[in-house]
Amino acid sequence: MDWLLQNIQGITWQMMVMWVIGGALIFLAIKREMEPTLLLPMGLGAILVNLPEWGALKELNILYEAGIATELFPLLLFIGIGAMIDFGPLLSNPKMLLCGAAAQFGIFFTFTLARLLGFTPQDAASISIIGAADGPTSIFVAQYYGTQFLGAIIVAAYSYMALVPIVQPPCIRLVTTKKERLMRMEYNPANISRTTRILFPIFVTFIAGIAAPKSVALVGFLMFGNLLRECLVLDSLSETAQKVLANLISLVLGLSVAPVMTADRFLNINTIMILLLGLVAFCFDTIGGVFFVKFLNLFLKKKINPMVGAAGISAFPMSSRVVHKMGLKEDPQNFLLMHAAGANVAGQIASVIAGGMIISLIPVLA
Amino acid sequence: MAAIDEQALVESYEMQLSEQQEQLDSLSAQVEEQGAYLESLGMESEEEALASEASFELRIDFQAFGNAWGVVLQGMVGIFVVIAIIMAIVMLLNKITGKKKEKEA
Repeated sequence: MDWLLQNIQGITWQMMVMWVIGGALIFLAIKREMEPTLLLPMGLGAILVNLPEWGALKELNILYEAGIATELFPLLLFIGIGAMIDFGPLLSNPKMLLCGAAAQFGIFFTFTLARLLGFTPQDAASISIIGAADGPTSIFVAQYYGTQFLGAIIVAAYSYMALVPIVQPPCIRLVTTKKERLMRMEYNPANISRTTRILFPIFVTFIAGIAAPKSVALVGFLMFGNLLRECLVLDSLSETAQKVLANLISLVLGLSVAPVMTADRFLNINTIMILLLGLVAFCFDTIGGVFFVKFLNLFLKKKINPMVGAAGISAFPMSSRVVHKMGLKEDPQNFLLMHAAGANVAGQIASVIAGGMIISLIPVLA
Repeated sequence: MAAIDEQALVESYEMQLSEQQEQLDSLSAQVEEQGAYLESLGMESEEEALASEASFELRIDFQAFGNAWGVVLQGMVGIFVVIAIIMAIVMLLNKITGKKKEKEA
């Protein structure tokens, strides 16, 4: 019985707090259906590495070294995401690309706040990328800088993505008037040729590769997935990327971040600050997008509903649904979904480019 | 035959020894480099460096805050430039392929 007593004595209060956090993630995944594909394995992973004698840390570390440390899992996941995205609404209305760019403001604003709070430029860059509202990009950039806060960053990134329907509406209401929210937009989809659909991912890869070479892996994998979808001759590969590959990587990705969720690395004041900074990033992304559309409207004949700017945040497709629902709430005949979807997929591209910009502007510590 | 084998064995041992010596030399050079780097940071050992990394202290740094706005400006301008180029190409593609479709029709 000594061994049992020894194991029980090995349990610390920090471990128990991590069990509660793990349990909370599992609860949010199952009960609230918030990003269940990732929050559920992350929750169980958090429990697995906080058991006596380090639990399954050694085994999970193999997954971490194989998929996160090498940045392989986020890149592979991007093939699946690329295959899922229909850039049609964006190609129909290319102006929406600008909304995607503007809604990355939160990333850079958070960078300044993190620097103000005394984080190093590399840690500040890793924290600010939570505002990309895109898990794989956050993991890629944070891992690139080898930050000690990787666990908290990943938890914040995925939690806030799940919380977009709660975080965005108050921010949008704060910076828009009722009249602005009631603004109707016609949707006249242009007939996008197959050539355009095929050339788009190739050109985006070229441009991102030249402008921000360090983000070319992310953009390239995303666009590769999209090319699989749009070429129409690789339907089975496209379907595999969308379903099997994306599910498989999501399954191991959640578990493989567990080694950075041990109590000694996770339970500190920095985690709380990172969660708060992540929230700031999401809020200022939203506000940045809305204000940019208001500015753009000064020059446009056909005005854009400012709420659409908020969909420029890359949390796809939640953000566009949030904007659409808000539009319907104000006016049941106001259908903003397709416009918001255009801004939303633009945000997906812009957030990856923002990640590349951050990497280009902030050098890695020698 | 035995003498030849012994000779070959001695030679292979000597080769292994010289390889190991080379590895040792490169390792000690690495250790020296690391030491110099840590010294430049004002730290004495790797353990101390790691400890300082882990013990982040909250402090308000207005100078860093001010300097960070340069990154904000460069980053946002950079994103808008890249996105504007992509937008121009999409418009161009739509125009070219749209005309083609009209002709076909």
